[in-house]
Amino acid sequence: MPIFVAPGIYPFILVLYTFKCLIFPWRTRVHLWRAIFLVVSAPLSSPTFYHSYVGDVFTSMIKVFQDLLWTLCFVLSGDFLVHETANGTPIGLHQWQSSILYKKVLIPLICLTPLWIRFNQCLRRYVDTRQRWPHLANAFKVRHFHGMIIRSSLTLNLWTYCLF
Amino acid sequence: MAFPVFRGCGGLLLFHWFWGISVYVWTRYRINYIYLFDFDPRIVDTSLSIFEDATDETLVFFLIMLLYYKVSLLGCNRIYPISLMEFTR
Repeated sequence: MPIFVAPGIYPFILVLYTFKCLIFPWRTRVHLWRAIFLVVSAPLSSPTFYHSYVGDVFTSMIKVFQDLLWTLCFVLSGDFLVHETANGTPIGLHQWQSSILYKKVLIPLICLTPLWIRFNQCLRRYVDTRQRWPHLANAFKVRHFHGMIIRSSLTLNLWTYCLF
Repeated sequence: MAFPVFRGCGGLLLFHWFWGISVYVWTRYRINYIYLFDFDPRIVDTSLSIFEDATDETLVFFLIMLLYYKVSLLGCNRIYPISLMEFTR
C-alpha cells in the first residue's frame, strides 16, 4: 500500500464522477446527448427551437469548455499523478499548458467551435425558411464574434509588444 | 494546477442548478416548455428531482475540493488520506 498519494488524484476522482453524472441515468441523458449530436451536426439536420437553445447555451459556455480542455490535458498528460515536495512544489510537471499547440491552436479552436456551430444553425435556418430576418442577421452577428476571436488569438502578442 | 479542473466541473454543476431554476420558473408560470422543446413528457424530470441531483453532486464536489486542499495546499500530503484507502488497498 502506498504511503503518499499525489494530490491530483482528488481532481481525477471528481472528473470520473462528473463523467458518470453526464452519462447516467442513461434514460434521461440519452435525449441530451442526441440533441448535442444534432446541434454539432447542425448543417446536416434542420435545427429545432431546442437545438437553437442548446447552441446558444454552448456559446455562453466557452469559459467552461476551456476549463474542460485543461482538464482533458491534465488527465491525459498524467499530471494528476505528479507528487509534490514538502513546500508544495510539484515535481516533474509536463509543460503542455505553455505549448504553441495548446495556446495558439486548441484554445482558439475551443472558443470558435460553439460560434461556428451557431453560425451553421443560422445558415441552415435561413436555407429552410428563406427568411433573411432574423437568421442571416444572427449569422452575421456570430460571424462578427468569429472575426474578433481569430484576430485576438493571432495578434495578441503583437499588441502586447506594441503597447508595453 | 488543478484549479481549472474544479472550475470546469463547477461550471457544469452550475449549469445543472440553473437548468433546475429554469424548469422551476417555467413550471411556476405555466410555460409549456415540454411542448416547446419537443421533450418526451414521460421522462422529463421535475425541478425538485433536478435540485436533488444537483445537491448530491454539489456535496461530492465540495467534499473532493476540501480533501484536495487539505492534502495539497495545507501541507498535509504526508498523511495518507483515509478516504483513499478503499481504492488502493
